Amino acid sequence: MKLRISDPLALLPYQTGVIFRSTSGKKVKDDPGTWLNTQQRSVELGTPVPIVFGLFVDNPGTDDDYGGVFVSPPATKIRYNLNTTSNEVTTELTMVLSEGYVPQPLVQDVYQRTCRRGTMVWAYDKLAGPYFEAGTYTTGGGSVTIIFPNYAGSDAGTYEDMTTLYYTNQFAANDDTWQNQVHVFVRQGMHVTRLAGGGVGPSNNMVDLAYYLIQKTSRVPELLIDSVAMSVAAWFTEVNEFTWDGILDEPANLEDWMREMAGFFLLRVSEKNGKKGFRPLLPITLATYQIATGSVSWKFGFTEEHLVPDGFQIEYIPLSERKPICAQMMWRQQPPNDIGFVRSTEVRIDGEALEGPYEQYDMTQFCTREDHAVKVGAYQVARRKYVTHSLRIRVKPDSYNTLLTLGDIVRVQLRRENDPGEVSFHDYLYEIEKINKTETGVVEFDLMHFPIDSLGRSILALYVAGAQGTGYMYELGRNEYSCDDPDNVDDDTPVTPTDPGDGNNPDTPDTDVDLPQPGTDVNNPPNDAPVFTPGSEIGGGPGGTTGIPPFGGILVNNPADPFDTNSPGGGIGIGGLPSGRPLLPGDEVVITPPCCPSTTYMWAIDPETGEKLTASPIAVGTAIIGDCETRFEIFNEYLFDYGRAFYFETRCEDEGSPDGLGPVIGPSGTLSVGNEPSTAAGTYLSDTQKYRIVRPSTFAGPLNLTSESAVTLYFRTDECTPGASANWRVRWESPAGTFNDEELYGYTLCTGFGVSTPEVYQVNNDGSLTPLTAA
Amino acid sequence: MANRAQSQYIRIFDETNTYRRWQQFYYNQTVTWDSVPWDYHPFSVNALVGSSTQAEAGISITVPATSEAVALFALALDNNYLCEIKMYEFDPRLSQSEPQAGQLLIGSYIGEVTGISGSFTELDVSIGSSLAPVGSQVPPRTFSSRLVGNPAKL
Repeated sequence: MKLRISDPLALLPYQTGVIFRSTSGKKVKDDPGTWLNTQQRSVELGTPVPIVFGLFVDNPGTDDDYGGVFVSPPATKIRYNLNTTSNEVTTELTMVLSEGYVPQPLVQDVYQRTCRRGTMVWAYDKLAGPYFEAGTYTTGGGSVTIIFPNYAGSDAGTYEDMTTLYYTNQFAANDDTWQNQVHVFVRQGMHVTRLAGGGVGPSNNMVDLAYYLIQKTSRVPELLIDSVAMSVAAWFTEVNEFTWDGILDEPANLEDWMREMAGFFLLRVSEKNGKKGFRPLLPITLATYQIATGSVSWKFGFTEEHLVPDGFQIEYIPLSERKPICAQMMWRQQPPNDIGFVRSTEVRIDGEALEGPYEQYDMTQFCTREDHAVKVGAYQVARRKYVTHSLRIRVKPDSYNTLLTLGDIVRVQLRRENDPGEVSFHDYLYEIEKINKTETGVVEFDLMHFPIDSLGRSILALYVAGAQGTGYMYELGRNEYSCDDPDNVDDDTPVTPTDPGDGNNPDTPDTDVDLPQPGTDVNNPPNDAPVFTPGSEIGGGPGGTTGIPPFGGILVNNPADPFDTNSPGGGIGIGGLPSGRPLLPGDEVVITPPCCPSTTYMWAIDPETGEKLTASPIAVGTAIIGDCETRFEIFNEYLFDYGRAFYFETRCEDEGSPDGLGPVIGPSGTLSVGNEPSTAAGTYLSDTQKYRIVRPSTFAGPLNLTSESAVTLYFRTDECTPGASANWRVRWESPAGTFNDEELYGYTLCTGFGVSTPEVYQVNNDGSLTPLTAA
Repeated sequence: MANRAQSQYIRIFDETNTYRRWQQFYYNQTVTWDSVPWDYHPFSVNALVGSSTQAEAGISITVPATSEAVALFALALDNNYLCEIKMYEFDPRLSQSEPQAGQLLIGSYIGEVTGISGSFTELDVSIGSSLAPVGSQVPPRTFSSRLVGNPAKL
């Protein structure tokens, strides 16, 4: 069974990202009074290693500085030392600043609660600072008591590909802030590959971050990333100053994250030829990557001539997505070297939605530019007003098979004659969102309405390009720093890096468990995957790496179904066979069928090839209830021939079937017939030999045997009476010359051969026959 | 009146090797295209889709469940092999015995073999990106004992 999942056209605006919602996003805390003075937090195993991503952009002489991230790194190891004489507490901390490489922050950018003070050391890929023993200690001989935390961390951990920070400070007596949080204003976030501009370094480009995440998750091969589209998208965000400055520390699905973030950067996640990338939601000028606000030209015009029957489907965007709204854009005013705080800007089309409804778009996690937030809001309110519908058309193959690609603008002009005497047109521009090329040649396009003004310009592009924030920056409203260390406040040098000799933990036990590769351990043998090399034939056993290796047979050890056994059970039994020689004409075979009543059939086959020698089987008898066997005598010379073989099949009685018999059961085991009699006469024993074959009536013409051991005789004659006893005897002479006779039974054949002269054969041990003639 | 025929080609490969090249148009023939041979193997591709929506779950190839096909795609699934599908268009009146030099590429798709299902006689092979729909958490790493030992608890 196959399930065909429909793809409703109504979902297209949501799938393409034209309509998007803010579903997550960590709002920055904006209460410095309590947040900065909180207790130092520590690392929790199992939580994400935070990614600090961003870039502080300094525009001297203006209020337009933006970017950077205010971070409160968690500690992994601490030491509190109380001098009980002076009552001073010395704090030492190691903290994880970020995943990856983050350059040294400036000294003036490191805080302990609200104060720039203390001494810091920075490191990458190892623990920062000089070694210290974790724990809580008292020195000095005094009697002051402070309750320290009990768990101080361990001397372990590789800190691989992380940026760490060491912090130490001495706190005066009665200063109970010795265990407060350390904060860092990061001007240059994690180094990544910069798609716009090139090289590796700090970035505030969301596309760079997405590219990094795609690579790091190792889920998508490089070949499946549309590097061209990613580069264009990166330049689009760069040129339009849509920036990402924040901490990524909330677990999320990468696909969901990309989808949500794309909307906030006026991008959409696209898949072109199987390759993932971002595409701008708006037309852009490729030379400059700016939003294109000029007249738009279309690449192809569709008319009725192109459509196949039922090839037109239109879906209007529902009212809930069309009503005018006021977009409440939440963003973060990020003062240089201080905690950011939440700002909101309301965006609406003039005169509409004055009292709401309000729709909130939370960009506080990453957006530090009002213009960025306003442009996203402008897109949302304009999209609601002007993008009215989507279209799906199915068209015959034409030049657009190779001409049109995703994102192209097309015109659909369809003549409508539904009113008497009046002709109208469905005539709009659309952007291609999906192309579906089928095996039948029909091409299906999913198209999104592309509204234009009277000059042919994109209305959405005009709205977004023209949207600008107020530019007003709030004052911090915070008191002067009274606890700063003056040396730190003015120190704009980077934090000291860790000495090369420091930062290596003395003992880092291996906590990984590596399972052996197949074939390297006797308890983990090689798998049975077929060896597969380019251009070779694929062979090997069934299945793949977990298949059952071939063992030369089919399953034989399954338990029998007790309700599926034919009475008297088993297969077709064959009995009454001669021992010590092959089957010969005249033998009576006893068939025990698996069921009664039943009919048994016999097939003659070529023992070499298994080929059936007759077109249909010969019914050899029926078995009835109470006498569940079939006896028959090998009788037909045509069917019976030297060198042949037989097997049997049975059909049980089945009143429900057309011929009253059920399906064929069998075949039975195979019976072989003796070989062709040799034409060369045997070397007879002399007349004085004891054993001879004689006719009982005359005892004349004795037939000498060629051997005296294990002799079996085979007679062919018509000189018998069907059903009567054999009329042949074995006579032997005693040493005194007395004759002894024994009558022969059983192996005479009285019909079918037309043999007038009796023939007697000696059946040799190898199954061959030697003719015996009169001596 | 337009005269069109379509042929499809698939290639199973990884970073270093190409394991199979199949075409489904030239019956029982190995043809040369792009200077490399393509063996005949019947298959069908539901459709080649290009989309601005990330919701697309890739495409599907249906192949007879020959032992070769089963082994090939099972290995492809095990080893993250890639599959590239190309659809060409040409005029069948000119030649149907070998690929025409001027045939037009009208669609292509590249993806990983992300799933196999089917019956005893037929395999449906899903081609797409293993990014969707679940897994791939970000941030990519979490704090572990190996990375940070036993951290302080404050």
